[in-house]
Amino acid sequence: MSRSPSDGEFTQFAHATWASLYRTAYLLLGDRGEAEDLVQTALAKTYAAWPKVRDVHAAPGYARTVLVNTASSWFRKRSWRNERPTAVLPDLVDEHDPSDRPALMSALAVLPPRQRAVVVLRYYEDLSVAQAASALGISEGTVKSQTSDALARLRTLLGDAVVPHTLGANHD
Amino acid sequence: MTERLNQLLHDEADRLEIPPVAAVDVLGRGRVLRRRRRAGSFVLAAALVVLVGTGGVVAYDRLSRDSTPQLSDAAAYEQHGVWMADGALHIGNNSVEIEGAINAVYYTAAGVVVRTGETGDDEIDPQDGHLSLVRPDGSVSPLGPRLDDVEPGTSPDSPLIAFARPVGSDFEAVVWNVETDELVAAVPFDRPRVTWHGWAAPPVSLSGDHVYVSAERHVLAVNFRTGASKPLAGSPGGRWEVIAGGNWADERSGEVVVRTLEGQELLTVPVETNWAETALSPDGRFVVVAPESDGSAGDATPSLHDVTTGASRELPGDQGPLGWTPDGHALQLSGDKVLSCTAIEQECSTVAEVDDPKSVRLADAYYGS
Repeated sequence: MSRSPSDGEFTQFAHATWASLYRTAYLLLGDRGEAEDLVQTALAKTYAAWPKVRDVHAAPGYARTVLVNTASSWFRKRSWRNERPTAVLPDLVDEHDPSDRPALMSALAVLPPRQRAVVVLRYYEDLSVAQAASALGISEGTVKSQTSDALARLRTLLGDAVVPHTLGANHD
Repeated sequence: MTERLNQLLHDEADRLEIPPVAAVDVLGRGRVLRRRRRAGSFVLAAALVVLVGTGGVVAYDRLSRDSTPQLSDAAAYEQHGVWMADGALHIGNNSVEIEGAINAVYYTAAGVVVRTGETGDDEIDPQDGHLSLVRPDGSVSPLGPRLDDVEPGTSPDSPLIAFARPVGSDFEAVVWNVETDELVAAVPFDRPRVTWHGWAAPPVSLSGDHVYVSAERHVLAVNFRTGASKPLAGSPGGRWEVIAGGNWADERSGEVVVRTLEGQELLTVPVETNWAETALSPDGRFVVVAPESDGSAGDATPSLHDVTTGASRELPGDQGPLGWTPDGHALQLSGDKVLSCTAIEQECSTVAEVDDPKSVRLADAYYGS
């Protein structure tokens, strides 16, 4: 892609990817307002860097990488950590569904940010170790060690029924 | 095996009410960013011209600045340890250029085992596991084994390196003498159908005559002399255990407990946050405890503890990662100086001054996530 898109073309792209990016952002951050801000920021950066995107089919993956990198930079900021809510619960609880939903988001909130990102990318986005490493800008070895630590912690919080003890990270 | 977790994540995401796209806002912010990047690129280009014009970088002053006589190569290796900068590895009194990208450095009694690859990334590329021994006198020898997608264990009081590897339907714990470049032992152990880790074989640690395998349900202590193996009492399994110098730093919710591998408790460090990451010095005498922020505790300061006496100090946030020497001195980068310090009392000697402090990497440093 050798030229910047027209505003109409980029708006079309933003509409097409918004929901998917928002869902990932929410799982990463656990807060709807922050998730919306994150997606807007990621799309704005994608717009600014559009000539770097090799073709339109690569654009959603590029936007997701930008989203994950932006979230990572937010996590490192002192002020972001201090202002974050101490507990994360869904706004609505389905009283007829005794599922693990509240426990899931609370458990994700306990994970350090990078571990949370690895869990979301690998078990929600279904990325391989290599793809997750590329998205996070870290080595595959670090993805694996972060995955194992995260799963061990989720196991203690959510139980073996959700995270079996012999759950492997080598499902590439 | 991941189905339930996968399903819960998708259920949570699918139930979300998606807010409308604020396309106008996105475009506005994007245009501002594009203008800023165009302005910034001219400044960067000008800076690069200046750097090239002055001849670039990299010259080290490897001599200590204090008045003490230079140590022997062996003593300098023990006390000053190993650090890396600009593609060169500095070991005690000597500097060595290593072919390929240095991915990891492991202390042994014979010198450091250097793991190199092609990537230029200072984190481990699991597919590049070439090994070389760099001795305290600066001489370099290639080693026979490759570490393909495995994490080894070494000890500064032993010339051995240990690692696990898949063999047929099993794993085996391999012990290799880096001084003689010979196999010492290969002890098979069970390979489950599904493993907790993502490497080709589980990570291991080495202490005395045992290889400690971070296996599924516990740490498996393999005596490589006799071939006998047994679980390490109290180890939970399913994670990479921190073991060095005969000690084990057991990370538990709310505390870190350092105990000997025979089970004697040495030190308990309370942790304010839910979890902490730990790192033991190569000789097991000191432990770094870095509480992890869970979003509610704010910034938590890492601390350094003497496992035997309990003495401790906080590590300032701007100090940077703490490396180690084989004999338990702390390696630190302070400004443009690499310092070797007694860990708790902080009496330091200058090992070297560098031109590019940002390129420095300290062996065995805790570069926390």
